[in-house]
Amino acid sequence: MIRSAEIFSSQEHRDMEAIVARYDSPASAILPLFHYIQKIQGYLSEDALTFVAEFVGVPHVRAFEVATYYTMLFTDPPGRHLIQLCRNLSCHVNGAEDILEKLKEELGIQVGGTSGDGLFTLVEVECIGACDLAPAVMVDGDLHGRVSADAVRGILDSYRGKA
Amino acid sequence: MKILTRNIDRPNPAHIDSYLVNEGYVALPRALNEMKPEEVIDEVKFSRLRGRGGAGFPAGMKWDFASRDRRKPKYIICNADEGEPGTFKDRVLIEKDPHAILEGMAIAGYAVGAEYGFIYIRGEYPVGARILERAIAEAEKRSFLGRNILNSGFNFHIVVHRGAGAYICGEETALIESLEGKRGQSRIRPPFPVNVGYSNLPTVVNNVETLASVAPIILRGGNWYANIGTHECPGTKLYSVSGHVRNPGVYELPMGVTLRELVFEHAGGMRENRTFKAAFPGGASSACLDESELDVRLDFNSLAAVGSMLGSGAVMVLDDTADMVKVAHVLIKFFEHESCGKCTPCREGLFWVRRVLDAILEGRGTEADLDLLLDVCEGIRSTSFCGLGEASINPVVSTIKKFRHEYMAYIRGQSLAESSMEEAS
Repeated sequence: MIRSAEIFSSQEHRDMEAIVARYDSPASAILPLFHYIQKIQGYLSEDALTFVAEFVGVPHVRAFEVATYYTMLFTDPPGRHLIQLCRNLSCHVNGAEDILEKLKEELGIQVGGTSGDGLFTLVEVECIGACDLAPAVMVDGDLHGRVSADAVRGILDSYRGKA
Repeated sequence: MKILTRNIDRPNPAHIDSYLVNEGYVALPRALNEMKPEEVIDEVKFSRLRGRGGAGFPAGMKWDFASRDRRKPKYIICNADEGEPGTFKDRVLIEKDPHAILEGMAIAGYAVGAEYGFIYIRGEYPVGARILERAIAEAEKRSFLGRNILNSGFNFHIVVHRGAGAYICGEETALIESLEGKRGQSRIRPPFPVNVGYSNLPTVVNNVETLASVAPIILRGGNWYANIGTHECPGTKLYSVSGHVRNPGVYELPMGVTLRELVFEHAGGMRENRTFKAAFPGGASSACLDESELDVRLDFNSLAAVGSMLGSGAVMVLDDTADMVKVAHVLIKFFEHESCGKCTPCREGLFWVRRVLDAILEGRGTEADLDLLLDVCEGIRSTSFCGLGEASINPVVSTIKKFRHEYMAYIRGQSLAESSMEEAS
């Protein structure tokens, strides 16, 4: 049994109750709860999975299988900022490869890795619906369109200053 | 002709006041006060509106099936899981005209007898999700949503539900699984969601663009709408154009515009000193068209007739710099990654197709590999559990058929020019 108070504040607990109340079936709240927890804790810890499973009344394995199915959910802590590089066709033919190389060089990591300072995690994603702005990169929730390899350092710097 | 994009160039277009200026929330009270639910369904049937998510199923029929099912509660789901590579038209509607979607959902709810709606929006659209939530709050405040809408006695509540990165959730049964808090994997059909949907109850799943077409149809009548576009595919369509064109973007045009007109008259043509080579007219899962097919009309029937498909209207255009083997490789890697793993042909087949393409690109391929690819692709197409697997092989099969010489150049270890000369001699 995970006691909510061990990992969430009472305000957070109330927020999560409000999320569950939006659905007739509590299990429907699993994804919204995961989004909520990931936003405040950065990833979905083992404790968080156990908590969500008990909170909506499903077996632990159900929370685990959902958490590991979706690309945007993390069961290990990523860097402070998540860089999502689109690798699909419209971005590919407009120079996504050059941006990928530049990102790897600037951060000193491979795809899937986290930079030594813990600031950035780099992942490749499928089409992010910004094909008119190809090549596109999403950092956290921000969309950067028509990115050139030369612009990569400036984009990274703009996040280095942030908490 | 601007129907779906009528509001997007206004200042602050997403705000309810901008929507109200141009007959916003006029169709909903008209439906509630002056029409019976059956009459609303009839009007949508008269319009012959076909689903804009890709399958092109008549929206009025879907509503009719759900309305005839007596079980309650019923649900309206707006499919905003816009994941087909090359598609970004729903993002424009969500961010610039969210109330058009909400009004369409409320009308759909009244027509089929549903009091609850979900908007399943892909996780990659956090901005859109916030805009929709704000729009719902605005609409509730003015009694266009919520309990006892405009004193009509009709209740309709909408919840925004964010996905978390899974292409397959755009398929309606996988979407419903995901909404129920499970892995998004397709269900067998039939039964169809109109009878056995969310929580096994009657559920209408409509695409964003389909729902945004509803209020104008109720306002101007189904016959007005049916006279736009082609006879089999009426209305306007939002085409998402990307790739090597000068002006990528979303273009609203009468259904059935030719590929040539879309690319050269609307999207600014090709980049300087470049020529058209190919286009995928319906996203990653469509068969490509080559230069000889520039005059094909971009509608459901015309594209099916040439062995391709309209899908969501994602037109990805390539010029003479594109390497079609690499293009096929990029697209098959996408499907390999997005295969949900439920059925063997799709899960294993796509892995092997990608491996053979790896070998060809690395200069280890043989001519027999092309027949092997076509054979494996046919196995995937004919035996996969759902549409993802079925359509996933289209880019590989169509590029082998139409650009075989590019594969041969890799296989022979020659440049494209050398290989083409050998073919010709």
